[in-house]
Amino acid sequence: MKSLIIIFLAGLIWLSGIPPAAAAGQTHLIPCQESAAFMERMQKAPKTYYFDQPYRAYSANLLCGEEGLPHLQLRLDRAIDVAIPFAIFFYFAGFVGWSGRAYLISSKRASKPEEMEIFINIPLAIQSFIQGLLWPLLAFKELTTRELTAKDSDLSVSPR
Amino acid sequence: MMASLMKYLTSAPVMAALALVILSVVMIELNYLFPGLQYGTYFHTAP
Repeated sequence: MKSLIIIFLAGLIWLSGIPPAAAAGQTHLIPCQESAAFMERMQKAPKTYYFDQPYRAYSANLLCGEEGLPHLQLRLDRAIDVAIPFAIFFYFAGFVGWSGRAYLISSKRASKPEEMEIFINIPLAIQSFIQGLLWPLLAFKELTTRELTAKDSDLSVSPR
Repeated sequence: MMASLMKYLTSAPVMAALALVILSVVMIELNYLFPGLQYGTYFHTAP
């Protein structure tokens, strides 16, 4: 019963949250340089490098809505606008996480692991960074060999 | 003397500051090479 209510509420929020235009698959986006509202904003902006350059980039490359602001549209021919920044973020986040993890795992094997957390061992750190660069491959390898996750027997479970 | 200097330089706060400086330089260079990056116009030619 409880899960039914949750599903019903989730459906209600989902349906009420989608604007009709997006649901119908239609958009009113036009290239920014053809949008009168955008051009007005561009002319009103202060004439400095930090305003000129972005506005010129928007007018050449992006699509604007009726209010004259640029929008990123989720459609296939513009997928690269979303995919590339996502890929860069995802790879970089993984790189940072995997390097740190590799360093900590290696430092645990040393005689004084705590000292290696306070004073960074440069050769080991560089080795960890190199491992971090290959993180998608290493993560896949560790997932298939079950090194990535802890064994069920190692997890404590509260009595129920 | 040299050993204690190296130990100080490899301490976590110094290394963290160094990493921050390197990251800032990388970001500034990326912005120089791909001027569209900061505007969300990724890898389209900037005017």
